Amino acid sequence: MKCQYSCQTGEHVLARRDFLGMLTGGFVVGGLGALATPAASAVLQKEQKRVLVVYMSGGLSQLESWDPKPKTDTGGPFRAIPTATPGTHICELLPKTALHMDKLALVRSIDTKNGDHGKGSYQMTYGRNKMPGVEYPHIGAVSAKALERSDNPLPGHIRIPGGSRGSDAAYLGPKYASVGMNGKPPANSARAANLTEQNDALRNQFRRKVNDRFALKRRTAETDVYTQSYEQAKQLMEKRDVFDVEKEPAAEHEKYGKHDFGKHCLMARRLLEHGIPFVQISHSNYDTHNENFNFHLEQLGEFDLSFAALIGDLHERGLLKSTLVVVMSEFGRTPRINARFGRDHWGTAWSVCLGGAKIQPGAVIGKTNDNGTKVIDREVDHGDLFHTYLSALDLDSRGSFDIGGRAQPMADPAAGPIDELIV
Amino acid sequence: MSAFDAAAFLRLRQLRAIALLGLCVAAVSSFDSALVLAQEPLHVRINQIVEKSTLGPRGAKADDVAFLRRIHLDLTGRIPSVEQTRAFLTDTAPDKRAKEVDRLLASPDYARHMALVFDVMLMERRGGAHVKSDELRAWLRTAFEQNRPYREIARDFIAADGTPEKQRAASAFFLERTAEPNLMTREIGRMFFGIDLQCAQCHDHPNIDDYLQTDYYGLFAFVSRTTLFRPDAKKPALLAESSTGVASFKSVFTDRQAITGPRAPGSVEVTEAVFSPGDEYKIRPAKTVRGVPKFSRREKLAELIGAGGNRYFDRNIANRLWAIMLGRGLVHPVDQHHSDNPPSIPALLDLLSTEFAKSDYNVRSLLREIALSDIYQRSFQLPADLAPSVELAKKSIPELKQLAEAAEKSVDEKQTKADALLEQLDAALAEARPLRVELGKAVAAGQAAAKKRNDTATAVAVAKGKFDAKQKQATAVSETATKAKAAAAILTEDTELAAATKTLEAKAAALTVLAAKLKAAAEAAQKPATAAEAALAVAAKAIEPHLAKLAPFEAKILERRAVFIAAQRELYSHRETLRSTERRVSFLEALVALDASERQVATLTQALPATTAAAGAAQKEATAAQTALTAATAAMKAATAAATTTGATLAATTKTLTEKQTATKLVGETLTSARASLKQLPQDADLVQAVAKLDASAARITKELAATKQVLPAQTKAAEDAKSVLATATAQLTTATTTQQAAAKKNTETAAMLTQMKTQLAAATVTANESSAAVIAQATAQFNIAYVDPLTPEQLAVSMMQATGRVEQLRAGEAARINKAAPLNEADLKDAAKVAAREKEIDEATWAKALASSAGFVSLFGGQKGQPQDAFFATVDQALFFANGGDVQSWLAPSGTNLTARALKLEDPKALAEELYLSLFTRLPTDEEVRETADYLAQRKEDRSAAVQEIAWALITSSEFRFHH
Repeated sequence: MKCQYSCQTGEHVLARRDFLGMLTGGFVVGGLGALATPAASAVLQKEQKRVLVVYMSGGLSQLESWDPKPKTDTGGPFRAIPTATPGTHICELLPKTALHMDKLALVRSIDTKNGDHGKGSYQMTYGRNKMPGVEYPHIGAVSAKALERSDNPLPGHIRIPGGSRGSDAAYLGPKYASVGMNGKPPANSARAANLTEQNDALRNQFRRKVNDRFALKRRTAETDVYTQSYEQAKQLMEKRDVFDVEKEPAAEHEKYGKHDFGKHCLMARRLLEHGIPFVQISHSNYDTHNENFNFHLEQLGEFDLSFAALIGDLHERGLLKSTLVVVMSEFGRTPRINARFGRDHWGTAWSVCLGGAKIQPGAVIGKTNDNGTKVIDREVDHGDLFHTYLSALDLDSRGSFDIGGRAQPMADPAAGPIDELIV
Repeated sequence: MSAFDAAAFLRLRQLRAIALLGLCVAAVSSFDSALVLAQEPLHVRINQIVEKSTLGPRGAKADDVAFLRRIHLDLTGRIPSVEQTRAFLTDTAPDKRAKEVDRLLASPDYARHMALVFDVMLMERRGGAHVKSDELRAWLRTAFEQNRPYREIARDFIAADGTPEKQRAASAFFLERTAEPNLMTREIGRMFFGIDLQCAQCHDHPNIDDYLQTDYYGLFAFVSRTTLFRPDAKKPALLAESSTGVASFKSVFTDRQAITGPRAPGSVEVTEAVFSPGDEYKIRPAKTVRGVPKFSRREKLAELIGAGGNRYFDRNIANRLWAIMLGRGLVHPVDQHHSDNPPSIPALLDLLSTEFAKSDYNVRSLLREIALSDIYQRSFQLPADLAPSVELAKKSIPELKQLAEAAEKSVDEKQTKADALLEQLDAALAEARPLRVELGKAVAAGQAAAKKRNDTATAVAVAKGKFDAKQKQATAVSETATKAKAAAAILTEDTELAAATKTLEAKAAALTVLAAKLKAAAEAAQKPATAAEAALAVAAKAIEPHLAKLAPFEAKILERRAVFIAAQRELYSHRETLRSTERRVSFLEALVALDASERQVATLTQALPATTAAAGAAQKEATAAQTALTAATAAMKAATAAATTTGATLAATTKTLTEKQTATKLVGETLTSARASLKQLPQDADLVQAVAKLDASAARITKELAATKQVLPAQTKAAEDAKSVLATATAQLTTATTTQQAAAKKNTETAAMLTQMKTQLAAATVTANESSAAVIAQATAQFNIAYVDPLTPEQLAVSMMQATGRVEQLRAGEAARINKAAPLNEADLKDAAKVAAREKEIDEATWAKALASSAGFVSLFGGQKGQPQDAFFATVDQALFFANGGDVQSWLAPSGTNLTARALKLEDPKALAEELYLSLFTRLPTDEEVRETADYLAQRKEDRSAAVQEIAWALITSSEFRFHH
């Protein structure tokens, strides 16, 4: 991989400009010293952090994945297999993923006290219980806001698949709402046919002059953000291809699998690679009230291939150390196997798999009892997990956003991160 | 309310009603001036307060065009048209600003714009699920056209229950929030009282001392019994209300538990009419019947708001109207009224809210007075010279600090007092708790009895109904039987008739028996009903002693609550003073810091060239010295080498000389001896030969010796010379070394000095920038300079359409459409009233179309549905939309008489620039701007049309257009 710190990367250009502006630009009344300083230092200090959420829609069975209980009354027909982390076993349906378990971690002691799809999905992706009359931002919106960098013009919160803009940013504002992606570039990102690049540059140059003159009279954080959005738009126009998954070579498509989930994983990698802070992909459907085992066999086969390819690539390309990956569901599935060989909704004792960023590789947090019917060690809930995700990104999960003078906590103040999972 | 003079208030309302008969703005304003007869107009009093309380530097008066753009955006939601700007510029009337304000307030644009502003403010882009936004806006528009008192508008929002007779449109406030009681509590608090109590739902607010859980539940009690009622999805949703439900709560932090009746912020519980169990409803609720209680808590809140006079209500709306005009509230954010966040000019909010209440919540009048005030008309730029205000600031800071110290002390005292009073209130609540429990039991028993009464009464009614039906059947059949019998008596031979008669008689008899049975059943049902009625009476009676017993405790609670609230109010007032003073101190300190750092920057910047020059010189010297040293070292090296070489040569020559001399001597001696031998042996040929050889040898050596001797002096001199050169070089090297060392030292010193100075300058620049940002932020918060805030999505869209000429295109389209659908004939065209009505119709249609076209802007530039809409954000999507999207590009394409078409017709670049700047920026271009425009046109003269569009695009996408200033 090309070193990101070579001189002409965007961040260096920006940092240099900020510093030059600060040091030699002299003093401007209405200048943004207070604003420019932390931004500049942040750019120098921090590498772009990213989040990938793989949402196993419907409720993945923890017993057929991260917390197998073979040869028990609840265990089902599948065996547990050893993984790259000595002592950690996962279900045999995930043989390729098992080879990457030395990079990933498991939390096996989740109790969200809920068995409803809608509520569970809200809990896991918003980090709180849904309360009437109150709206909180989605983990994607929180990530997009907290990991935002002024030198990155790409949208911060991507949902795959989809086509429209979500309304999941609450008080953080539409800027951080999810953008649905179908492998096509964003709207209006192509220059009008009758406008040449040269003339576009000319009119923008004129626009900049007009702005500079206004800035001499009065410059505010808002005017700066506004004028900068055009520079970002220009950068995005140059990066349209990032969104076009067909630009990936055929071998990559082969490696990830030609099914939708494989394609989505490949898209996710492409977007993360280009510095998009948050991507969520989904795999459907795990709501296996009937024939749980057949469905998991089939579904996880697809998942295992693409997910393992994705983790392998992120690792090889050096992205995993700055990318948090979480495989989550709205809940797990009952240890009890019902009359239709199915498992039902279960929020009492289930697992997520996560890794990358500051998550300790190979860690296993918490424990369920022998047949998986309850948590017996280190019980956590969705609120704690939400804090943990933020901590893994080097954010202070107990901090607040300042939204127009209103302080809004990043995560539920009643919960806290799993500190021992953070390196 | 107690402090409020109700009689005066009533008189005021009557007066105002009379004034409204005048029906026009002029009448309204003359009424206003009559009202404050003895006093100066409100805007003058605003000026006086601002004059007294303003600290720090402030902007000059904004020029005419800046004022014009601002007032149009604030009162009509769009920038003025180029014609309006030209007319205003040429108007020489001294009161043209006031005239413009009055003209706009009287225009249909004002009510249309206010309807939009209030819809967005109160609904936060919700709407459409039950009540269409257009319906609500139309209702609001009428309200603003009629200039209804705001307390009435607010009352309707709370009172509306979805029925047409109660302002269906206003029920959007509840219905679009699904009437969820916690959401309603929060939203009523935010929208009508200016307090966001959300975090006080589960405990006292963790960050805001003033927001108590009990305040939350006081408001909650008003709406917790209200629910969305929609048994039939085909019919519109309504609001139902139950007669039961208490607001009791417990803090998850402290376990403090309490109960509260419905209570508006800053007030005690309202008195509730008590009805006996079973008698609580006007319409008793059932599955398909909307319950309407005799005492509606929600209506009580509506009534309370409608009466006006609640301090929180008054301050909230005064502040929000201020924010509509100035871009930001005196209290900011507008839903954060609390004593840690005092108004930027406390006395001003006091004045505005009391005067607004006194004017009976006259929105138009308050907006007018704000528009005429100096503070509204200030420029958005700080004055260039801050020195005078810095001097004043230096003087004020110590005084203010003293004030803050004193305030802090009294805050502590008041806090202690309020805490003690809260404990007393809690004690009173605790005393009443068992009695309330008892009462609750009695009421529950009463309600159970009422239920039984209702059930048994229903049973009676049902049984009676059954009996009545059967009785009717029996009567009908027996009448038929009687008639049949009579017929049979005549037609004796008709056997069939006889049989039928028999059947009928039998049927009648059977039915009569059945009816008798049902009658008995009904009578039997009556018994438990009577008993239940009696039991209910007893149960209802049983409640009375509990009520009587509780009454004195309730009175005590009320009394203590009132005392506590008064103490709280005092505490808040002191804390407000404290925070306000602290803010001022920090503002002035930032100003002083700015001045100091600016001076330092200036001094350092001034000193920097000299130091840089000195450092340059020193470096040059050092370089020169170094060069000299290098040269001297080289010279020294050369001299040393020369000395060594010449010395060696001399030594070698000297050595050769000595050898030669020795050889000469030896050869001479040998020769002498050989000659002597030859004398002895003259014939010896060998000897002869030897002597000859020796001779030759001696001659050669002598010659050589002579030669050596000859070079020796030169070589000696050369060696001496070299030595002397070496001595000189050595001396020179010593000097050069000393010089170089000195120069290097000086160079290091000056370089260090320069670095230090640069570091200082950088640090001072950072401080200056930071203090500048702080000064500007605080000067803006104090309204010393106008706030630069973004246009709302609709303001942006409609202003763009106005400026580019898109509105006129829409108008032409609408006129064609309307005139085609219903052409005016010649007679109509002569009828001024009809022509005016047509104009109005076209105007309405045009703006409706324009607003509809801004939907795309709303989704890109607006906040998320159900969230505050005042947070600014700029996204790449927005920029791409302007850069490449179809809308703006098509508006800018020359067509008809739109902006770019008009500009293209102007040959003179200056005229062209003026047309663009006046249309887009509401001002004339500067010389520099004219020059830039001309340059651009010259650069792109092969495609003038494209060039003009590009310039217009650059202007319309610039900050100057995007922001309100």
